[in-house]
Amino acid sequence: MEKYLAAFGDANSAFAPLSTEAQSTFFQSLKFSEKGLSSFTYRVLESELTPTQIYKVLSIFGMQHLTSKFRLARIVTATDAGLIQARDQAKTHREYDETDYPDYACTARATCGRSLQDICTGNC
Amino acid sequence: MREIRRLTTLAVVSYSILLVVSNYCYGDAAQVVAANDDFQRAVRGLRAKQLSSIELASAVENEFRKNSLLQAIDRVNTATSLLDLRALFDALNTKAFYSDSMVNALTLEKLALILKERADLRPSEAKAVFGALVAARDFDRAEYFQKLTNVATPEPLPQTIDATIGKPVTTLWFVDPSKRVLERKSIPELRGVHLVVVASFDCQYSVQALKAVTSNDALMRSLPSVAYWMVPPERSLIFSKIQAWNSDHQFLQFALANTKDEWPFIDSWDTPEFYFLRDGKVIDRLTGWPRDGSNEQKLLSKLRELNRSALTK
Repeated sequence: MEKYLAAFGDANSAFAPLSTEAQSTFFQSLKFSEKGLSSFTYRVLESELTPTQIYKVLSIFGMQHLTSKFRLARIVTATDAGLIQARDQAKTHREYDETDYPDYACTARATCGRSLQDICTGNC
Repeated sequence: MREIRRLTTLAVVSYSILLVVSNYCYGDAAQVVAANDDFQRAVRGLRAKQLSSIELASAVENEFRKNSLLQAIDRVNTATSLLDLRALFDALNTKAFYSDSMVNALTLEKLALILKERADLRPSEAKAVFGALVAARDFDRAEYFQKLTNVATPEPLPQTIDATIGKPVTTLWFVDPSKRVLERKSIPELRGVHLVVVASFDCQYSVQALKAVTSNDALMRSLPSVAYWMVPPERSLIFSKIQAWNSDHQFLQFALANTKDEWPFIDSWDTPEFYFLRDGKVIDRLTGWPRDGSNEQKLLSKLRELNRSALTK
């Protein structure tokens, strides 16, 4: 946790492209379980960052596989487009296996509760 | 003379207060934006309080009123600034999300159409309105709005048929096994023992729970003869996921809840959640589904207890 806190103030960190207000909102939304990040807000990342930048932020928490869910993020490069399209290519199971959990937050152990602009991760 | 001076001072103070209040309630962009910021901060605080979904919706509604946003929405007209409109949309979107009410969804749609008229409706805003209409279960209006704004959705909405008669009390939207059709039907009064399960196909813990139940013979055998498995009112409707699940699991068929108020005993709507009922009253519940499978045995015990209670008066 202290490692993440330090990264917030660093001008070279993955959080630097976010406005100060967005950094604060994102930071306040972070919830952790003993397994790691259990929920966070996707709103500020999606509205201010490109998929490549989102990938860098999520990598800090080991959550980079969620980048493809940020479909409304601004696409600037071919890498950005590739990161969003990864979702469709990954579709190999039955539809219900592709669990997607935006607008939910981790409310209790292994329990998701509706929460606007949050994501409930696999660490809940 | 002193009395005149006192009255004049009183009048000036009263006028100043009136000016401040009216500016705050209906006033300039900075005030509305600030009111929305305060409101959003308050909602974030409420989210941390572990309230039930009903308590949360009510608390969000109170915060909305407290920040004078209701009056500000009533005052929206062609002269309302874009900044104000956007802040009001943001606030109302939050309120609509936690209530899933039709009134909020329709007001949100109204604000979105004003933004569209000004050629300034963002895709995320159009998506929010579409989702709010879906969650409020006005599928026709959601489809109309989708066509009007070209909002991108993962798949088209299914055709809907309302097969309810009169004034139904508790209803579900049943998924057609082969066609893209949802049919709304009334369910009988809850007499005897029932299991009601709220699970979302957007929540991996729900999917884990469902898979565990369907792959455990003892659990499947212990299910009461009447069990309702339902997806809560939520903004995404991935019809194909539910249809695929139903096609693979003949004895565990999913339907969609219509509105939250039709299920007064459900106070949380978190997922997954199992409600054990006798004569319509909750006698036990089980929440969440950890990966270690620890709830499997708990579910089995609670199901057996429910079945035992069916044998006693």
